[in-house]
Amino acid sequence: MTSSTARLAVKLHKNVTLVRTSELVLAEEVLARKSLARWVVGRLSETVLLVQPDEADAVIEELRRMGHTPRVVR
Amino acid sequence: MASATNSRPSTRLADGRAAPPRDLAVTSSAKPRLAFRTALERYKGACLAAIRLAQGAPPNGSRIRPAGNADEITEHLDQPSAVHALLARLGIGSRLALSVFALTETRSISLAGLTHALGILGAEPGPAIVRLLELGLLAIEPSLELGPIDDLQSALQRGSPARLRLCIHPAVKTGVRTARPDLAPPKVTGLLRQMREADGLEPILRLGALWQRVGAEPLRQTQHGTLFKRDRDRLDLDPVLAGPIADALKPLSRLPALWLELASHLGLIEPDPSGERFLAAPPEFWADNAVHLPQMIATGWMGLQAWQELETTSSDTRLSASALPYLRIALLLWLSALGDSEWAAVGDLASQLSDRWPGWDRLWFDEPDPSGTAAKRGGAPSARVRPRGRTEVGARGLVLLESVLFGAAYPLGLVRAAEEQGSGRKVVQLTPLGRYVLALGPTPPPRATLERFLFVQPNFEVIAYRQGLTPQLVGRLSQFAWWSHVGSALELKLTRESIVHGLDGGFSAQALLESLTKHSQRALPPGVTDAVKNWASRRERVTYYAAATLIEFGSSAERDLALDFWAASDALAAPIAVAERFLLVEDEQTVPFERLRLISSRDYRRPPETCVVVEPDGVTLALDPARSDLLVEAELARFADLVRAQQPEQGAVAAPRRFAVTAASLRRGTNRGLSAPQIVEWFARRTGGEVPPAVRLLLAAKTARIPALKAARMLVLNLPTPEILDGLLQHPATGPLLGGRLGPTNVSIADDRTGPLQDALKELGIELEIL
Repeated sequence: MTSSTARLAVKLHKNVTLVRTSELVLAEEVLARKSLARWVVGRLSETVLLVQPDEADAVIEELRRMGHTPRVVR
Repeated sequence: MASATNSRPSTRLADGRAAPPRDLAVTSSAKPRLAFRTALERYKGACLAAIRLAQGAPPNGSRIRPAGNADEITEHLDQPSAVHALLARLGIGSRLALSVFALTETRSISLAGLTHALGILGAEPGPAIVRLLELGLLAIEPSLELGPIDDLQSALQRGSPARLRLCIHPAVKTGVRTARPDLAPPKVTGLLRQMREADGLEPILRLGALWQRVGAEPLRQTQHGTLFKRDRDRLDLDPVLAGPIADALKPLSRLPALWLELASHLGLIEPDPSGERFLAAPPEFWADNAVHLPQMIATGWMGLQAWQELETTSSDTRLSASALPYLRIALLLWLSALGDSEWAAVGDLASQLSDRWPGWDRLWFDEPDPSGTAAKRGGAPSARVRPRGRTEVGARGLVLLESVLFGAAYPLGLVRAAEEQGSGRKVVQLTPLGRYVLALGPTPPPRATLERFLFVQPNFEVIAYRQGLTPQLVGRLSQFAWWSHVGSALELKLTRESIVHGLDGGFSAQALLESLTKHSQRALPPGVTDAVKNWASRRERVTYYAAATLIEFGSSAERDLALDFWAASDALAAPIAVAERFLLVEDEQTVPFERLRLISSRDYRRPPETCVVVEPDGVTLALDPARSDLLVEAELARFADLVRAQQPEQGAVAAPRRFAVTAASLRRGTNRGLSAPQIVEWFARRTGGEVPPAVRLLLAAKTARIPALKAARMLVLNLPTPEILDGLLQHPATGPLLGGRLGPTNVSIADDRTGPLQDALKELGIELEIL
């Protein structure tokens, strides 16, 4: 059992490019769209997708084409 | 319609400030002080020594070595007291020349430009500039045309005025105070009527609109530095950018080009790292610069090169530099010689200018002198040139003067305009803002503003009264409401895109609605409030993180513990729990590292690391927990199966995760398009080695390169020495009966060959015993 005062061992993943959706079905929609799925390189959870970092504009544009207004955190 | 500028907008300096206007600015990227010192290094020793002596160095002091002299002069000018002492020795002409440097915020000006400005101001350019060079306050920039400089006056004579540039020591530019010309314009004594002063908001509104447009869709430029036609047309056809200025006393052409060049000068639009596009500056620009924006715009306008007040045809577009920047600054400086309540008639200004500087109305320095008396050497008319006189003022001169003063300076809020009663002559004077921009007056008092100046209508249109606007509010509104009409009345439109733009810029839906409510004359229509909230909530459904930070914990229990202490700290932005063991943090600065022990860190902007270890069986791949990243598991999952999750060791973030490559998993990968070369590349990248033989075997089996295998019973013959085996293998009686050599002293024998081999060996005198 970890003591509440002990410092927790962690690993830091910096500058990760992600798409996070509020619902599972939205993530599935993203994966089902071929033009977007090709930039998805992994799935961290049901609603968090790892995407290629160098295709930011294309991914955002494609999300907009799907009718979303994604919040973009740079 | 005239097209927007084709030229490449200027960029920003390394320290983030907007670069000076093109062509006024030196093209070298060197720092101003270094550039000044470098310019002096091209002077010959005697010339440097003379400057140092003129600056006040004792003539009998230690010998001045030419090599160190440039440093000595530069260091001397680093001292503000030394600069002030030298400035006090200057005549009005030299001080006006330095004022031009200071007011245009540039450190390098062409000789033609400085000469032109001084001539317009009624100063003798030659002596004024030579004096500055002799005292070392200005330096001639190095050029191949000139070579080493030994005599300052002759260098000015030898060089082309349009190409020869003079640079200023940065401390001199900082230390100089704006000088008023001795000769004031002729004053108007009659009664005036229709006095008008613009609110100065016009350029800020248009720049706000341009910033929105570029934010919504960046401007692309070709390799030649011109805008793509589609983007150029987009600006030219935009009614807000191209529409005439409502309060203009003199119409201006090519307005989109004006706003574009100004925005570039201010840093409101910036080139992206590739240089292929221009992007809108971050919204913080408005908060950081709104207070100073009128002054920044005025300074930018004075130095504009590509855009001019008079429309130029394609044949007028030259390689030569524009003369107008020097006319603009000189005109404002000249007007500053009038008292606060005094006015000058534009016609009188034109006449007097024609008398004192015949080429004052030229647009370009390579343009022939409009008076017909060609100015000698590229734009510096000789003092002996015959004045054109009052009756010879060209029509273009008057139009140019009105365009500069009433077309541009008036909407910028720099001059007031009026009409003389009776004669109907147009008259002009500087406003408090104009004097402030010239550093000749105090900060202008803030305008009385109207707190509630907005009408938000149910159809999402917003009407704004100019009286309520300030540069800060223009910036604020530009962030979330789309300018649809800029005139005497202002119209904005609230759209989903504009609201999302505001939210992207850092507004919350609540703050955005509060901002509208605060300035609205009536309560916001419920439909508008609901729509803004709805658009904001929809935006939260999908979030794109360009560079998020993920914190990986050893277990979900530890992750939850971290969430608890994170929540206890009000100062820290709450992270988002992701998957079982991760926290997603939008801003790494908020991570409470004092409560965490960092085992390792992985930056995903760097190339992937080698982080997979191949176990001895060749098919089991173990992830190195300290070096692995989130992508490697996704990569592995394509052609390998997760084996098992072990309990992490004490203090470790997570147990090493193992994957096994099986025939089925490999088949899965190849069925999804993964090729053998891709697998080879993956092993090289992630394990640092080749594909293990076991995996290669699976790959070969998959691609059917292995023929059907055959099994047979074999005996092994052990020989006492390798030499005997060598002999048996070579001898024609025994060699064909032996199988493959298994080692130095071992060879296989097929089961059915043992009898014949026994016979052959017997012939050779060797007994073979079968055990």
